[in-house]
Amino acid sequence: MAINSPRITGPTLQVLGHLISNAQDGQAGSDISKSTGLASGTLYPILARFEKCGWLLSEWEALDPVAAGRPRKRLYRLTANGLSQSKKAFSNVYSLVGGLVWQE
Amino acid sequence: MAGINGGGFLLAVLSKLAADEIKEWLPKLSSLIVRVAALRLPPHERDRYQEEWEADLLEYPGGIVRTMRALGFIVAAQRMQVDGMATRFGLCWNTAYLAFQTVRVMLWMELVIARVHLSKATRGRISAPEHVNVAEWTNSGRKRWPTVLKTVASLPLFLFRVTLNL
Repeated sequence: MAINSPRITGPTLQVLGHLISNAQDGQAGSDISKSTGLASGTLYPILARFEKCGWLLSEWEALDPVAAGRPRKRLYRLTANGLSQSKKAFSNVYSLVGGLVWQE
Repeated sequence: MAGINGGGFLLAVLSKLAADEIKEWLPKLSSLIVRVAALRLPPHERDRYQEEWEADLLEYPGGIVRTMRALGFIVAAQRMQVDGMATRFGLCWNTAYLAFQTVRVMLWMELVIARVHLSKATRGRISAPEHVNVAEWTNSGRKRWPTVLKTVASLPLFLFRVTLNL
């Protein structure tokens, strides 16, 4: 089931950026969506892809849905591998963008 | 003038009633859309995403916004299906997407063709000779068998679809 490496696109970088800056707390899909402005149709496939390749872990929030009267949120967190791979992806992009800026 | 005012008042009342009705139905519609979207995923992932997406919707105020976001889950489910297909068959995403859409178009064409044949068979478009009983003609093998054969012929595609979980 493991995917070698997810495609790095603008939206994936937005998601990774949000997760890196909130690495301590688990983030629900709605939190990421509000922060990045990504639509649900774009966000959830990205999260699923990252999860399948081991960059993300997800878990249910600690809540009894019956007592709370609402469904549980699924919280996403970067794994150690995900964090290092994300930083690598960002450094690749920055080096590319930096190169372009320097050329100008 | 009084008629116009009365008509305007009636229209306003009806609009208000319609708006209230829509407001009541939108949460149910969003929930239904989420269920439909989750059904497009592999069986072991359906419950998880249904609960996750229902919780997601609650974070947004307003029925229309929630409904629009719920519609996005259908797109998400489709993209996740394509991802699954790409992984399973070792395809690149674009190829998997093309294959996915091709199968979907083929399926819909099959459904439309099957529907047309069924419609022809039930309506009895082929006119019966005057000396033949129409009820017997409609039930005759001449009309029934092509429909049965076409339905059987479309089975492999349905099985293909089930195999790919499309």
